[in-house]
Amino acid sequence: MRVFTAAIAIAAGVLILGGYFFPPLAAVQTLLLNWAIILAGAATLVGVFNLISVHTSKIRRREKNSAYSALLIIGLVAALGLGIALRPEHQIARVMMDGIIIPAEAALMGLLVVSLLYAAIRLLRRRADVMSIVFLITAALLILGSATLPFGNIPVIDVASRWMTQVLALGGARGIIIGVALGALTTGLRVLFGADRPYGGN
Amino acid sequence: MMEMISLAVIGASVFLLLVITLWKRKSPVNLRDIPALTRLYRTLGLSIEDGTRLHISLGRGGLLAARGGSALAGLAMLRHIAEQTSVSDKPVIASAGNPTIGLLTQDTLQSGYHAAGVDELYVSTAGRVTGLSPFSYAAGAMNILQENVSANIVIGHLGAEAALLAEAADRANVTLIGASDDLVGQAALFASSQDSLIGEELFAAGAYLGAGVSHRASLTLQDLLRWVVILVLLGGATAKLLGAI
Amino acid sequence: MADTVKCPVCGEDNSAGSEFCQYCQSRIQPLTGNLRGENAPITPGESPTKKSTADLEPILPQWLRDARSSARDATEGDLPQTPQQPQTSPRSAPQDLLAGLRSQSDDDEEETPDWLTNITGGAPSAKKPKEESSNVRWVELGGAKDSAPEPQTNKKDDLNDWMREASGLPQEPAKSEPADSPDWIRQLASDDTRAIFDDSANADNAASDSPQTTSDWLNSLGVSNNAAPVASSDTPDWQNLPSASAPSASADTPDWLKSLDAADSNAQNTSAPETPDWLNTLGATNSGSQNSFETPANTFADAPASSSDTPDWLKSLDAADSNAQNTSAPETPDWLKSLDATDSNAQNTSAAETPDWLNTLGAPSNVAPTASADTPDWLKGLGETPAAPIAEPTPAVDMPSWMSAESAPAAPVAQPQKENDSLGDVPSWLKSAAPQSSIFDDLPAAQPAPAESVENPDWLNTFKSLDPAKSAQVETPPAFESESSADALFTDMPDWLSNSIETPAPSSAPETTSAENELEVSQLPSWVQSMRPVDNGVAQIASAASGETPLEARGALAGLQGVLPAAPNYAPTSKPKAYSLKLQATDEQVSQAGLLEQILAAETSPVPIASFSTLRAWRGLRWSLAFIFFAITFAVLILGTQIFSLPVGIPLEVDGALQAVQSIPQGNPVLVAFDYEPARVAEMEAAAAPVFDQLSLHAPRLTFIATNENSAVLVERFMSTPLMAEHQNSGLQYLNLGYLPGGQMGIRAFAQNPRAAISYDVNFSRAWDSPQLQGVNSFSDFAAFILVTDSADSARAWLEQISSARGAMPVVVISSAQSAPMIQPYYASGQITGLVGGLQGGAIFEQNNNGRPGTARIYWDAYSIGMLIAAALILIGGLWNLFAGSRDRAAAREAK
Repeated sequence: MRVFTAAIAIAAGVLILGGYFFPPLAAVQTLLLNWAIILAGAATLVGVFNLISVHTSKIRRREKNSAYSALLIIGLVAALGLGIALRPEHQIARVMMDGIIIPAEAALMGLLVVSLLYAAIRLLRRRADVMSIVFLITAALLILGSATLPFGNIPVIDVASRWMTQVLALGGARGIIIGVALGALTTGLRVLFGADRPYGGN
Repeated sequence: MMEMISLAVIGASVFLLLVITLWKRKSPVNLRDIPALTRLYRTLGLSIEDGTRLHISLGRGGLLAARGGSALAGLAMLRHIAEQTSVSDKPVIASAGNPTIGLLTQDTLQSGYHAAGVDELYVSTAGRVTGLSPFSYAAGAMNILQENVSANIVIGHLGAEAALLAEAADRANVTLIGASDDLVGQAALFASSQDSLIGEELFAAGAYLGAGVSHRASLTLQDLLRWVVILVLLGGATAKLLGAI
Repeated sequence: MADTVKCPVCGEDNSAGSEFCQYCQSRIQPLTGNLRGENAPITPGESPTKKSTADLEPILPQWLRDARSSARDATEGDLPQTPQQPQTSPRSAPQDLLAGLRSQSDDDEEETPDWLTNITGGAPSAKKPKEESSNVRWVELGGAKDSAPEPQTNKKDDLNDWMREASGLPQEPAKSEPADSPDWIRQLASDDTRAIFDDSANADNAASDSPQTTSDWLNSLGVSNNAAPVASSDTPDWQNLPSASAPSASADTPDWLKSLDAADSNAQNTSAPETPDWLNTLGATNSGSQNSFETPANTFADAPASSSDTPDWLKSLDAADSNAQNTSAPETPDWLKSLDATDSNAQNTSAAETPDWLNTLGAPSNVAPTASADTPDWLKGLGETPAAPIAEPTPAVDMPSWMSAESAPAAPVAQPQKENDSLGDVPSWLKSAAPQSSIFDDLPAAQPAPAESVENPDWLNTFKSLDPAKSAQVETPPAFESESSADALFTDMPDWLSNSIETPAPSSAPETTSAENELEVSQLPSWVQSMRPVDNGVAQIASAASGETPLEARGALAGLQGVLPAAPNYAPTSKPKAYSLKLQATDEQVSQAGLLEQILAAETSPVPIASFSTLRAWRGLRWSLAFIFFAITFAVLILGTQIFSLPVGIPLEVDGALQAVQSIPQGNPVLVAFDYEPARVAEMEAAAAPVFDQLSLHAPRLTFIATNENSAVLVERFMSTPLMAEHQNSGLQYLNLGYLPGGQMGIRAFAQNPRAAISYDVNFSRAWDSPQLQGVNSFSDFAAFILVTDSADSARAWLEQISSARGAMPVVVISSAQSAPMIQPYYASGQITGLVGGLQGGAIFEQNNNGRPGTARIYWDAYSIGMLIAAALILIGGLWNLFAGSRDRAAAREAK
């Protein structure tokens, strides 16, 4: 069974990869991608049920803060039911979005601002090295470069910020992205040839 | 043209990966020191001794997205962490912000416990999908830190929401080891955590945890390809400077 | 109880300070210490001092004295035929010499305590009991060492060599010697003529003194009175002859010794015809007296006999010389006669007192031509020995050690022999248990052996030094008292005792034998000193042995130290072979061992683990930051100030976006992809509002598609904003296709075939039948593509997947400020037409859109103030934490 699953995974991967380079395999690639999309959609449902299962068990075990779990389950079921029953442009759906989802995530974004600011301030307390100092200076310059003064842009800073953003930060970011891409490539190859089988079977 | 170049790169990568894998089988392990991974290795032992739990945050990268590589790397590491912590009283909890990764998380945990001979440790709720959006995922993952977790290993595709996880870990006195393939996530983890993995270091976690020779071979292949990229970039820049291109 | 000490032997209580038991005389205090002073080993060149060791019997334990008395009585009764035997033992020096050698070669022999040796009175040891330690023990063992384990062979060789050198015969002098001759014969023949004469001169006593334990070769000599005289087949005829001519000898006595014995009384007249005259002469010497005799000059110059240590038997020989000379000469064998003629010079000096045969020794150069066939080879050798080398005056101090020990052993032999007879059956443990130090502590000041000054016979004079006058004046005292004849109990003296009494003759000065129990302290008899080792070389061995002298804890030997050898018969004779401690290993083994060591070191060496300091959370700072930041921004927002100016200038990417939007033809389909999170709604809507405001001016047919789960709803939210509501009221229509699943794959599929990728809109209506998508069959049919995203990855995914399907379609990206720098390269590379990044980009676009809708302007003051505060907090807070951290780390280092 494990060999069978591995063979299926490897074959699907090779076919999809081949579809990028060999036109005759494009149809097969599309078919397999559609299947993958369907499975991903189904996986979303599985994920939702998993979320429900986790918090249900918390409620059943009467764990700490299980009330929040109950609230989560209630909100999830309500949104799912209303989302299926109602259209996105429905007023109730808009209220759910504007009244619950967006404020909640905006609040997290606001907290994120505070968290990042707090982390930046404490960075040199935690790790006082050159990279940390450079990191903070760069962050400060970019922040200042994004803001303006009442009389206009901050002299020199805006130019420096733009230069740093477009040259230094972008060059470093590209290097990092290339490295990440190489890592993703080798990791994909390991999975493609069965060295890593995250789908089980080993 | 681009397709042919891509195909050549992939073909060469496959060939080199196979060769290097065979070569690495007989060569000793020689890895440079990465403090974050050293701390990760130590954290595993401490969690076992403390009888506490590990939380592996795999992020919201999906298999169907470009960030699937980091998710796969996180799954490989999860597999070995599950094996190594199978003697712990508290099984590992893995969270994901993508439903497909959530499924694979459960499968990986089950495989790891099966390999360790402790199938009874696996429970379906050990692999969780805490949210489908970045902040919802972060909010759900932050809640896991209250379940007697001693260390939070963030590895996968995470953006700025990683700072929320870091803050939650800081408040809960939980060790955080972060790695993300996202630049924003890396910046947030760099500022928020004690040790963070930058760039492709995320893909080296498996090799450092002893996941197998293929992981070490892939690291070597990354180095080779990086040098190729460097040469190509320098060569292209030089050609551009000389007006050849 | 502390004042008394219980004797470990008899169990009686003694005072605590007693060294010996007052009841049994057993040693209570252990023996410790090394030899010092007089007892120290003599060094080469040092002449031993002469001591008398008699008079020790009174200090013997009572039981031993009783035993000796009874044995003495029994001996007197059992041996009536030898009542007149002189006190000096007939045991000759060769016997003792060889017996000592023999005994030393015996591996099973135990060492003899000095007290037992001194019982004989022949050689009292001057050892102090306190000094009885390693060196004393060494003396006991040293005797064995000196000659052990093959003393005869070595001695013989040494003697042969010596005599060979002395006689000027570099060749083998005993070449013609019978191969089966006993060793002692060989030695006698080759080395020490004096020994022969000693033997023969004392043969009258030998019949009654032969120890029962004497070995065969001694039995063959007939020295034992009790043992059956066995004439060894190896014995030469000349030795066997006297046995037949000794009618007065006892049956146990060898014939030749009987003849010697008979000669004691009958002198040369009773000698058998076959008996060599010289032997008869020797036998007659004992009949006279045991007084001194003149030592022949120039004969054994190095012999101690020529000194004042001349033993009694030599004295007796001296007394007999005058009688024997005339009677023996006529019957001297030819070979002796021939010897007699060898040295005229010697005869001239001592002719009157020297036997003929001895005279012949003095002229060895003439022996060879006249030697008869009966002459033993060894005698031939002697005869051939030139006199001059022999007569070489050699001081006593220059004597070889073996010579100093054996050159004058004859006198003290008799007494130890008798004592040995009485002690022969005494178990060794009893010998050892006998007190030792008491003897020496109570050494009498006077020497026990009264010696009379005698003149040495001529033949002995021949062996003396070159100074005959001086030598002749030396008188030889008796070695010990004349009590040994009654000591039948000691007749079985073991060899070790015989060895130990190989003493030189006492000094020439007659010393009165004292009945006192004390011997002179720290004065060793010369014979003991002569036995003592030379100081070099052996001292190390002695010191090594001293460290292992055991102290007997129980039994009869309790309290004694060093009475039993720790390692029987252990006598290191040579430097032990040195074995290298270095491991013999090949290079490969060494390398493998090194590798193993490295592995073990790696396993055992602690791996330092960096201590990971955890920074404690600072909730106060977090709350303070939140308060400062939100309070100011909220205040600015609430106040609605417009103090801060909008960004000046227009970047190229924004201008490109503006130009692209403005270039969209009227009424053409425009595809808009929403892919951002609800958390960034404010930013994204503020950035997108001026763009869509400008776009709405061209009455586009908008089609929205979301690649994010929430984006479909966010599209509706955006289109419901006042700005977009206004445009909708103006006739703007849009189509919401909803969520496109599959991520990058879905985008690819949509780019390749939009109709196949998504068929229905969010209202479950057929999308492609709607008016917004009229005329759109492929992706390239859209007039423009506007991507609103907060993620660079999403932008890259869209741009990569539509690259092949977009054609010349303009692409405008509206991104968050966070992802704008990562999308910027796509604009630089021409993959996108324009980019509006974040609130700043929206503000710039807004300024170029106549200030519409003004959303960016509303947020801009709060945004700018927030940014300035954040930058200030980061810089100030960073510096403060930098110094605080440095201070904490310094304090931590000092604490360590």
